[in-house]
Amino acid sequence: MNLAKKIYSDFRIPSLAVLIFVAMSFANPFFFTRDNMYGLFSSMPSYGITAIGLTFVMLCGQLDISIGSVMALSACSFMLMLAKLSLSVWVALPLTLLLGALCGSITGFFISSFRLQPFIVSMTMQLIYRGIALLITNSTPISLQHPFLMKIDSMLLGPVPVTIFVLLLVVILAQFVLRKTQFGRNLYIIGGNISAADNLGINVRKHLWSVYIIQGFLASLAAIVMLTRSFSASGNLAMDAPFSVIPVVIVGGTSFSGGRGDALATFFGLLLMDIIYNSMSMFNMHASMQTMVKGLVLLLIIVGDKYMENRGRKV
Amino acid sequence: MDKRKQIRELALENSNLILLIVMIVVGALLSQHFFTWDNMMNLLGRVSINGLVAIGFTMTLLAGGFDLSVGASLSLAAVFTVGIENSSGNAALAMVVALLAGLALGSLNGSLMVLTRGGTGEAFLITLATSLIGTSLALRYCNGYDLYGVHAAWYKFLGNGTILTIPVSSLIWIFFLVAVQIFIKKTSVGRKLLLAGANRRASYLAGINVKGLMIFAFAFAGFMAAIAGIIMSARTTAASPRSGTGADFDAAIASIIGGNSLLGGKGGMAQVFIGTMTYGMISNILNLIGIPSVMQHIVKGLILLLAIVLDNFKWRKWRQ
Repeated sequence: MNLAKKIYSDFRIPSLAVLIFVAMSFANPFFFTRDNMYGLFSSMPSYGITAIGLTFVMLCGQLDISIGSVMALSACSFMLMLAKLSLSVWVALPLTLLLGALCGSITGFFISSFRLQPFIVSMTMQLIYRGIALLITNSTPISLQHPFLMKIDSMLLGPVPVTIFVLLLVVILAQFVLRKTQFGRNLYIIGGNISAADNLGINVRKHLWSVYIIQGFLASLAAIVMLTRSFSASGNLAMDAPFSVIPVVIVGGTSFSGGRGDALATFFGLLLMDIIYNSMSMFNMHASMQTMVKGLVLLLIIVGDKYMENRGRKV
Repeated sequence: MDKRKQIRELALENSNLILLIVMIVVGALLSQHFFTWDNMMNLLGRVSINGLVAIGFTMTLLAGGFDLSVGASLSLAAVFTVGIENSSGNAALAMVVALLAGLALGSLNGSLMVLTRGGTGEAFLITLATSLIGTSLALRYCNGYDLYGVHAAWYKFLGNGTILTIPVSSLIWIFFLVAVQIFIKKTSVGRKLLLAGANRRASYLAGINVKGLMIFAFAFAGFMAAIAGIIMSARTTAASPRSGTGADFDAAIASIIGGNSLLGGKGGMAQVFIGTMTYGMISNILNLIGIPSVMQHIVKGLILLLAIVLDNFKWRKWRQ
């Protein structure tokens, strides 16, 4: 009985993931095939890395809706550097990561310096970033079968693509920073009670700014990982990123108000959500149906999380 | 020193009106046709759709929320109106259904806001999710295709007709502007809504029905978006499930540029008018200069950013 309780309280999400995985393997003969497993594992890393970045942001009680646009801008810039400017990968890669960090830095600047509403600022910035992405690519997608990207795409360990290990590395590093460093601990305090953080002498502004920079950096990394699969970048890349990534982070255990959750939790949330999405696509849903389900899932998660949190309040 | 401070404060308070005047001047300088009756009436007709949505959106802003689903309500209303009129031949029935759809989506938003005891933060996320749901509903209804064909003459008149050279759509807009302004400033319900938006907790303790007002504000936003959707479909004699994409942003920009505060409880329809006209003029001017639409997106984003920062400065000072 105690074991069951412990599983429920601490290992809820991973257990649910395992459960659905096993159930689907029995329910649908195509689920547990090499092809499907490959599909499942190869779609995880890009949004997964973004989700880790978003975890940092949401831990502080903030939000960043511009993740999709930063991904699009990074992907377009990377492809432009490779295709049009013929730069070497080893030059284009750090430049793109820098660009992502820069985007995050600009968003973070406006939010942290003036303590503006993170949602509306990031929503505005995402318009701007996407606009820039469309501008530099002249609204046409850039495709290139670059040898570097193809090499990464072909590296496999059984059904598991090597990009999974990039994701795992990010998760481990992020978990370390969040749980074992003072910086990480400060983030939890800021998320828990921002005025307490102020009073404790924590430089809230610096911390808030940093998480957005981390977010931008990881988003551009995620974009490059995404390119190793799709070989094509357009200004409309990752338009559904906010809707797909936020549920992952929340399901993982991070709350909108911050102060809870970590990289490992987000990882399990990612696992669960990906298994669910994968299972959904097995049932042959129409695209608009899938969007509706995504909207419903998002709604349920948001309302559920907020309701649980604000249950005791009268208004 | 005192005089300078006074002037700065005055400028900050009326920055929205100043911006509108600047836009008129710039436009007039760019083209001699800009400040003519014809062009102004044309502009008025075009902005009234956004203006109608902005009225509803502002209501949620004043109530201390935010509504990103107005675009979805607009799309839903537009496709329902055209679709039902086509299949049943009855334009009035179609419009009633469309209005009900907007009301329904809005009420859903409002109820969820009450359930989560939400403020602006929750409003963003909830309306984001409902806008996804609303848009996919619209897509399902017309199977992804655009709907064409508006038949009833009076229906078409709503979108394209003029009375004494003033577009009917703008007359409808002005009617609602005046009506809602009277509601907000002169009726006790309206004033309570403003109070609830400014300080939810204090209003609740004072006995104001904060929950009911929240649901009302969001339902009203859905209603206004539906009206805008109907007029849009009348104008273009077509409806697309993507009609409303970006409408939420346009309404937000218009409302905030005009001077309504993101913090809730501050603002009104005069601000909506100023903001909508200013935003329309900016689009007009950008087109006149020949800036490609992709650039226009970026410019509009920058303008919104500026407006948010200014809004923050303006109202934080007051709050302190």
